[in-house]
Amino acid sequence: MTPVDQLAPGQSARNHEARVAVAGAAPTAGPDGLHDATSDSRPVFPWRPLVLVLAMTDAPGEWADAVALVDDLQDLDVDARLALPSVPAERSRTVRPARSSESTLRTLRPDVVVAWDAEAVAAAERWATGLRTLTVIERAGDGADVDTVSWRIGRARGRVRGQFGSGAPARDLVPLVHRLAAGPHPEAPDPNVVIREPQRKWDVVDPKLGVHHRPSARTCTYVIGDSTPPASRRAAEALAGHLGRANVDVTLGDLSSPALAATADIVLLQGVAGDSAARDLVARRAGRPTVFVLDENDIGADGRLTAEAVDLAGRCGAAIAPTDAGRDLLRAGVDRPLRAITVAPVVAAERYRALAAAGRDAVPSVHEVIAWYPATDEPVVDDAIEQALRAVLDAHPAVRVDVVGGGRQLEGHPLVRRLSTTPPPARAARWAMFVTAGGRRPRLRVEPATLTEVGVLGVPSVVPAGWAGGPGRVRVERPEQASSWEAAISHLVDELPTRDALAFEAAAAAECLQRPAAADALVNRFLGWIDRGSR
Amino acid sequence: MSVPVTVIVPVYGGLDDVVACLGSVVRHGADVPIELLVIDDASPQPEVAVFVDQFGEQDHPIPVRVLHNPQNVGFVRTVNRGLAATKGDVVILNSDTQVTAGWLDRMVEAAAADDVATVTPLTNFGSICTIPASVIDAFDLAGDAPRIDECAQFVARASLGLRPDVITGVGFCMLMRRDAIDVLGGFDEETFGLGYGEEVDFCLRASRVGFRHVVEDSTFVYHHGGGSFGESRRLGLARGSAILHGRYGFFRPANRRERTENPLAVPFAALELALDTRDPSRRQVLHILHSSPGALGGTEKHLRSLIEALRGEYDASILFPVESGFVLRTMWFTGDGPPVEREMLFPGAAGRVDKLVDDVAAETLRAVLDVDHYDAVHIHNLIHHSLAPLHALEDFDGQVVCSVRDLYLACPNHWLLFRNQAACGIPEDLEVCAACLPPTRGMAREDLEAFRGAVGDHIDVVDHWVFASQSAADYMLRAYDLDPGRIELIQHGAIIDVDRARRPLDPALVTDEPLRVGFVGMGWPKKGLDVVNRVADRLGDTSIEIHHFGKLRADPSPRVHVHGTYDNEVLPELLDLSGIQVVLLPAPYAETFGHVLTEAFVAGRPVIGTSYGALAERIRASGAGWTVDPDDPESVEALVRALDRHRPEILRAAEAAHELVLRPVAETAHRYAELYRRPDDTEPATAGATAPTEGEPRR
Repeated sequence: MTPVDQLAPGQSARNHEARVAVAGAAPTAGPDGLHDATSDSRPVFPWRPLVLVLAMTDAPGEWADAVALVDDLQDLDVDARLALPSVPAERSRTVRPARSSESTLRTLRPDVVVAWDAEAVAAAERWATGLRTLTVIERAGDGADVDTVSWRIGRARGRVRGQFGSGAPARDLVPLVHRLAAGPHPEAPDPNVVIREPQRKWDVVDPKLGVHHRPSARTCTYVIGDSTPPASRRAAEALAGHLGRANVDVTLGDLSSPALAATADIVLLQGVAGDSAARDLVARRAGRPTVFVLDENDIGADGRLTAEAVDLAGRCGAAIAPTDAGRDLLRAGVDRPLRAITVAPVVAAERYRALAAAGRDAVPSVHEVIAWYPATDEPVVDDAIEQALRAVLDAHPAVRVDVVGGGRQLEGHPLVRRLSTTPPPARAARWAMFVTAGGRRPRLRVEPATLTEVGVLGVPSVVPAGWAGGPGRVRVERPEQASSWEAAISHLVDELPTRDALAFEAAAAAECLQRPAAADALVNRFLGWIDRGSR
Repeated sequence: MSVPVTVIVPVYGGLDDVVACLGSVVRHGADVPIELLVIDDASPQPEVAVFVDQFGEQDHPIPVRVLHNPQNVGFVRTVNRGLAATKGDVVILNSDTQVTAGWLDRMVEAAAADDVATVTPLTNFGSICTIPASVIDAFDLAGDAPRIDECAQFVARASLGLRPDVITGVGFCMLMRRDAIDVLGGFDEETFGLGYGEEVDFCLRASRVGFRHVVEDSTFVYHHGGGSFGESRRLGLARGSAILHGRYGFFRPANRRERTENPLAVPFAALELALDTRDPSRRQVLHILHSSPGALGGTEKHLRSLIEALRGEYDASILFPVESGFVLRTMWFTGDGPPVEREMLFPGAAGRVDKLVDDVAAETLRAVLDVDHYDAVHIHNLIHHSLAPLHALEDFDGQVVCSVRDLYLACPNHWLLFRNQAACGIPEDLEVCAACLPPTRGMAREDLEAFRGAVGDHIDVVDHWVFASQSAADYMLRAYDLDPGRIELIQHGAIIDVDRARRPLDPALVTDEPLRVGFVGMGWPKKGLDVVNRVADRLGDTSIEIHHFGKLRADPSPRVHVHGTYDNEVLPELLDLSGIQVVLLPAPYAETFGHVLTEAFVAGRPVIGTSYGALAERIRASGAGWTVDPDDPESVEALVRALDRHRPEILRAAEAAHELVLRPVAETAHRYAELYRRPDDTEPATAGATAPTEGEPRR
């Protein structure tokens, strides 16, 4: 802790250290002796209640209790300061005393004044005009009591709202300090004073949602490898579209046109780990922003990054992942300095608008149609879902099932319709619920785009426990058991109010997180991160 | 021996209905002396006249007389003939009705007062006396096999027996006291010819000389309806209406008032509530709210969570204002499924209530308390109710709990912002209030004094004052002497899914990216938009970004990144996506709790919050942020710059936020359950009483 004699008048050691940390250099302490507090004495990071122990009646050699109180309060996370009429013989561990003066009080602007004597009470009242929140605790008697003084209208005693005896320990004073610091202002506004400047009318008011701080134009080449899965490719294209809204001219390409990539302001590399051309490109760009985009193919069966991914990400020095799990994999797996953030998949703007419109305009279906996307990588769970849906169909004549993709599940069932791909939004918006167990890559934990999109449509989802929960989703606790799925699905079929509530929640959350303005915020963050790394 | 009540049944066709009607009258009889007078008005179907004659010749439990009009003279003249042929009170009964057990005795009882001219029962087809559709459906009264006697038993059992006054009786079944007939004469047969309006005319004539008309709301009489005079009904109604409005200038305004005040709203609410059986062994709480419980505000969400958390022990009903009155919504839990929800509209003034104590609001609450049993009443917000609930609850013998979510009770300008700008602290000097209330609330100083006097006079109506923070209680203590023994401090708890949304702040976000500060909440000066704008402007030369999440109601600085409205359930995800490291809440008014503060903590974000009120109280207790004076935007700017230069301070505060114990509303519910119980209840407290407070670290 900084020695007290190196502090400014009225400053605490803690505050001094904060100032040094912010300024990067130690301010000068100023002359010896007792002086008015300076602006350096104000807390840099104010969160503790600020208390000024103020004495006006001189009592040379008798400041030990005041000094001790201040030190004890500091130890109890109260930002206590000391103002005295004469230099104390006892040195505080934590603060340098200031001179008792109006300047000290008004410079420090404490939340609470602990008035050491009657004259200090009067001084606080006199000097604190305009410091509307300042309250006073007066020292009264030798006992150990700490108590409030009524602030009830008609009985209040000005700013005095507490009392304590000389024998009261600091810890008993702390709750009162906290309470008074948060309490009602003792000083009313002056009706004759303009409280605040008239609100300025801004010259440019464009409350359009999203990016409206157009950064300067820049170019970006988004290199996507041939092995990139279709879903990842679509997510890349959506991100490219949103980057375009932020004045970034994005070219989607491959490594066959390295010249363009070499000169672009930003390069994103996805699905090209292990390609020597990618390594050469990074080297040629010589430190300009080149970002490794984590893909599911960059993760091996052991759940770790492939050696190629480690190498390329390390060379880039900057990486993005679609999930926090992927981001953490990068940070832990790359042994070179690496900046990594999460850039979640976003729905393309046009796609979002189509989905949202379909959700708004959806006309309820005559039948309750359950959409099921069978998974190829979760056979046990899919079997359970199939059994559950059969039971639901048997018990609910008005239910139908749309099986999208998948194999031979529910083959031949008269109430089941098979679709090879996701239907148009207007049709999907009429689904009563969406059921799926697949597409969750445990390594990256990327949720299928369909799950996101049905949220935009306002369709509730039924998913296995272990997935991220969220508004509009029902999680099945034992996904390998058909009875668990049947119970969850039947409940939603039978309880329309519950389903409606989930649908509303899903749509509200999706609107917040998936609308173009949200994507713009994501892109804004990404570009800020890029710029920070370029400094 | 007293003069019998004569039930006059004019008959003109409709044999099946006539058979059923007459049969029901003789079957049910009465304890009071009764006779039946059937007058055939030259029915066109001969079988009707034949039946009537045969009916009159048979032995019946009650005396039966039959008269025949030689020629058809119409309903009105037929009734008058019947009135002339009787000496006592009469009941005019349509031939397409069926009476039910006890009908006449109760109607006679309702006519006991000397100033009563007419009494009308409830029915399934009869103007203002028509029971709710839900009751009609429940007993298939519109179908081919109406369960008439069952319905009548239900009405008799469920009725509150209020016998409300109405402007006029309804002629399908109307008891007319002989005193009124003697004073007024019979129906105006010259004017009303074939019918439609004659009974209204009689009733309005009666009202003009001081008589009343009563609805016997525990009696049900079935009315087939629509058959009388067939297609000419519509024309007859229109003609009659024109005559009545011409004769009685007071009829139109009286009608309008009756539609607003709806004297049968409460009797009908009692019937609707009785349709669903609530388990009488379960306790029930009436919640008073200022808006629909389905709204998205923090109070509404908190209440929904609370009701759900207490479903094992408590049913709930919620009383809230709408444009045309007050709605009572029941939420009765039976098992694990969704609650039985039914809504009933009670009378109320259209639009905002602006009287100190709104009489209609008070009467409505008293009526609500009458229609069902409540163990406790929980006031969540009095806005739009006036102070009426404090009056109406004086005689309530259950527990009254009042959650002080805003400081409306301390001042009608519940923001406690002088001229909507600066925190006022509830001034001692009412001249300050005199300069604020006129422009902000259209009120004078005297109104404030009256308001506080009215609140102060009824402070003890409330058994438990619940505050979510000590500072909120301290603000109230500025204005009122609350009994400390009645003050409860119960933090609201998180209204979003803490388990799902809780996350630490990624340190790399703090150290590796530009500083982004998020202003979350309504975008207007009351929430600090002025401060945010100034700070954003002054930080324009830096890489620091200022973002706003919420609805805008004033102009933002062009340097503010505007995101629009948000769903607080996913605020943590939104803050992650946007790269926000710190949340800024610089509202000039003193929060009583701060749901957004909780949501920011759930997201692992430290908060820059106002240096007084609940935000300051919670930030100082936790160290999960910093406090600023909204009156000093330069200090906000200085703090943000300092945080930008010294990122470890952000990490310190973020860690403090992540370490906090943040409880969902459900974990606070046991506290409310204890408050709802009467002092003599011996049930043990609900489990969960040992959950730690917010200020304690998680480990």
